[in-house]
Amino acid sequence: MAETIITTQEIWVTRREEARRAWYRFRSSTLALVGLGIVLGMAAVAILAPYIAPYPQHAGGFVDFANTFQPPSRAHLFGTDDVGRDVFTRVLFGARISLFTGFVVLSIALAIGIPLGLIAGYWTGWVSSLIMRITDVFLALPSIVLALAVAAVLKPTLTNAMIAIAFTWWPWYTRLVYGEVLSIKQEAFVEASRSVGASPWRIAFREILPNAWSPIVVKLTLDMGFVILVETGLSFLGLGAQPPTPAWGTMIAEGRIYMPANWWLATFPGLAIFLTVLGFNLLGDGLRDVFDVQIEQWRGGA
Amino acid sequence: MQAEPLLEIRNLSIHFHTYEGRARVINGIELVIGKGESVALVGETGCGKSITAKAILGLLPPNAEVVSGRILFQGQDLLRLKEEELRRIRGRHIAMIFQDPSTALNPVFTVGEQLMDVLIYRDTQGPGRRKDGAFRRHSALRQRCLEMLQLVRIPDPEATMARYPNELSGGMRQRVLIALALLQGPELVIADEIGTALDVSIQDQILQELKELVRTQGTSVLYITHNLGVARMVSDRVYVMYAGEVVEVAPTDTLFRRQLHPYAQGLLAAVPRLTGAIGGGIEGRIPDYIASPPACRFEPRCPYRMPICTEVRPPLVEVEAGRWVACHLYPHPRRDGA
Amino acid sequence: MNAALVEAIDVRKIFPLTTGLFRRRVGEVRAVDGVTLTVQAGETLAVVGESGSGKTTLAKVLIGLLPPTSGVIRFDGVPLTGLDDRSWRSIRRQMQIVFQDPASSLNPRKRVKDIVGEPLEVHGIGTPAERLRRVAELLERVELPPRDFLFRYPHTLSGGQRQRVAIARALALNPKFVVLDEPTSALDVSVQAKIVALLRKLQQEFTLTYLFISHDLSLVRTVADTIAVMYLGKIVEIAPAGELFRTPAHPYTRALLSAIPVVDDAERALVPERIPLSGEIPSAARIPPGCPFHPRCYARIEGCERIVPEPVEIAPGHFVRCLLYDPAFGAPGLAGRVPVISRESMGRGGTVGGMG
Repeated sequence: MAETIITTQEIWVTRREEARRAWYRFRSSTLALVGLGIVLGMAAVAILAPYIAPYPQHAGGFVDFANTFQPPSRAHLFGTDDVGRDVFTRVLFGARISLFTGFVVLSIALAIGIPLGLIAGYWTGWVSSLIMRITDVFLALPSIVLALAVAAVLKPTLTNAMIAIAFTWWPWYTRLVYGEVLSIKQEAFVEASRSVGASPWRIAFREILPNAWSPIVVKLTLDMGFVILVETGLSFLGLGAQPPTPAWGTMIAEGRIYMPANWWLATFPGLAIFLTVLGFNLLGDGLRDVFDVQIEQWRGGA
Repeated sequence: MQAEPLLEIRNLSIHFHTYEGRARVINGIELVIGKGESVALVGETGCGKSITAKAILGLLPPNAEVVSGRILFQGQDLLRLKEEELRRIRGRHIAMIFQDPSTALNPVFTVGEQLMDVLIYRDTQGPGRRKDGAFRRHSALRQRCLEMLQLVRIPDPEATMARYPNELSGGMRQRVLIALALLQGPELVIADEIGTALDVSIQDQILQELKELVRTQGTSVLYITHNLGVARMVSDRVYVMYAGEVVEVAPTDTLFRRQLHPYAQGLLAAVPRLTGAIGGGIEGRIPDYIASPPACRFEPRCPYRMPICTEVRPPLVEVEAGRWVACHLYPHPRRDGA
Repeated sequence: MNAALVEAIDVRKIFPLTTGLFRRRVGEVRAVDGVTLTVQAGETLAVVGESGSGKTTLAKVLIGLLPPTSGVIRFDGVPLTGLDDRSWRSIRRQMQIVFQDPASSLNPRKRVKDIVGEPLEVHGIGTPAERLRRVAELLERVELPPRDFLFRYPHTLSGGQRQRVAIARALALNPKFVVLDEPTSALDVSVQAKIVALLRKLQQEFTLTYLFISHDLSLVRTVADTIAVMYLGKIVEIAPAGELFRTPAHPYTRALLSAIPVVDDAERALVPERIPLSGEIPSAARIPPGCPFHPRCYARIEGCERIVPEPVEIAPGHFVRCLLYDPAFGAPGLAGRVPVISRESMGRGGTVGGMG
């Protein structure tokens, strides 16, 4: 029996249709589109920084005492800083650091938080209680304070800052996933899978987790902004990226003593932070609206 | 049995704007409810009966557009009223009893608070309101609430006033919803699939009591239901809806004895009988409202279809006294002659 | 003579109610309270009841989704307890269930092909290509053209189509016994008729045995060979379908039948005069002593509040749990005890027994 049941092309058509539909919903919110634009822009900047920065060599240690404190001009869009480096270039490179940090921290948080949340939610009993109590302990500590403490104990480097932040971030995902699993496991299709003989692991990962993604994705997007804020805070305090690394927080720390006369040293990195966090927030809100509609749709039934 | 009309829907058409295009969900319907009359609007999922109810109360979703028609109530066209004027009508003159008793009541307020809320709000909104006198009138309002609870056969009205909705059984909650709707003495009540979330014996009880209650109060009722047995039990006249159109209208007993429209016939045949017989259902599915059939919307599924059914939309015409049908099978002198 | 495929002997399922940190037991919910029945191979047994009757719990216990608190369940002669893993898996494949709400019984994130193919995947049957072929075959059996439906998501399907997918999934492992838990309650009447026709066709083609759970007596009349009426965890009456409708014995059964809204004038003769029931169904956590129905029963006699009636066979295959048929009480039957309702007394709020 070698008849084709359905061609690959037809599959592609269906998938393209679904993608188009999702895009249509997303598109209806202007702010979400703005957010998406900003995020994509920032991502592009981060990836292409070495190629689009006018003075890539200024990103690290570089001095040009002849050109210090130049105000913004055609040659230096954001001016130069206290040792003559081009601020615009450094802001562009700063994007790499911030986005990279966010990415790493959230990856760790997901890797720890999701499995723990799944286990705690699906298997009840002392394991679940233990996991959730430990999570509660971590949640009770304010993330910045904990990150500070951890970073202070370890040597102040960017890597250690990332570890510190991830340390405080994973419990939120555990709790989120835990709540979702609790409600999803009541659904009839979970019972249907059980009745077919599926093992608990299979059910947890193949049935329940795919249904829990929406709030996770939304939270991830919103969190990017907040993680970046915490990272800049740490860098600002000298506990994260060290000079001459062009992290935005570090740049603000170095540049603020020259305010308000040489305002461009601290202001542009500050604006960059603002724009990035705003972009992620708008995108996250937009995604949440899209997902809410989806959930309403399938729950509402035909 | 022409009672004086209380509500008249004339040539109502509603389109929804969706991603795929313009969905012609309601396609020119006519409906009349007389004073003191109980009318059932019967149809299956997606036929537009709930949308019709929402249109009457002005509760349509934002992507709905009323492209034509009028809804006349007490001399006013409800579709042309502003929101504030509609608000004065909602609850006081036209009330809705919702379908699911477990979600339609606010779980954080007691029954008494929710009932009183309705009356207090009315009291402070009407002409000649006296905020200072509000306290004095509370006991009178409370008395009215208790009376209402008694009318809907709640065994211990005093105690029930102090209870929260989740402390009551499904049947009790449904009765509270009915009380809420009738509290202000509306002329028209819209009952949207009530009882479907309840056990059959309770549903039966409640519908019988409601039927009696509206008879004594002279209230008109529009029953929205997909359950033909319920429609038979509670209504004087039945409107059968299919795909956004009214396809047959008749007095209840007449309709159940003999249906004219093929859809109505198929529908009745599909109801399981106590003899053990059950019809085969109706082939096909409801049409796509965006690319709907050009003339008769039932034509693709109709066992009696003729060429004219794809060319001319059959109008709703009166073929006998009080019996209307929209189908080319029934020659009508006035329509065909001219 | 058909062999018994599924047998339940005095099955009970009790859920404890606990409070507090240490899970102190404060009560129990007797969802299934001593049920004995037999399902013959190839037939359809319907279990009818309202909420709290325990019919869904009974179904889950019968196919092994829930362990019984006590009692024996046998499938094809084999008791379901004390089986090793392999035997258990092999038996479980022969019993499947179709759930009530098609909207929630299908995983919204999975495509139809994955939903229907899941049983095959879980049990490691065939290669992915073979599984796809089998899924396509199953979809054809339930009258859904595979090309159009394999890659769809449940939210793009209508209620009837979703239920067909659920049925296809239930048939994937070639079961002998299928439990249908209110399979058409969420569907429109015309769609229901088609699903019923489909179920009948499949039963013929595959020699299936059905356990059909429903609250809809007239629907059950069209599909069942035998009907069992449940109330608060007990089967109060069980009889061949036609017999139950012609001569309902238990007061509850009679009241249920009388409440069926008939659409045909011809049917009116088949239904007893309206018997309104007083009160509401008690919670299954507070089952009344003696006969569970006695507080609402219009025909109760002295003793009903103390004694739990045992099943009595009043005709071949027709059993009733009611003291009115118990020889020890003179077996007076129901005659003359059915309340007569006049139209006037109905109108004036005079329902028999009042509201509790």
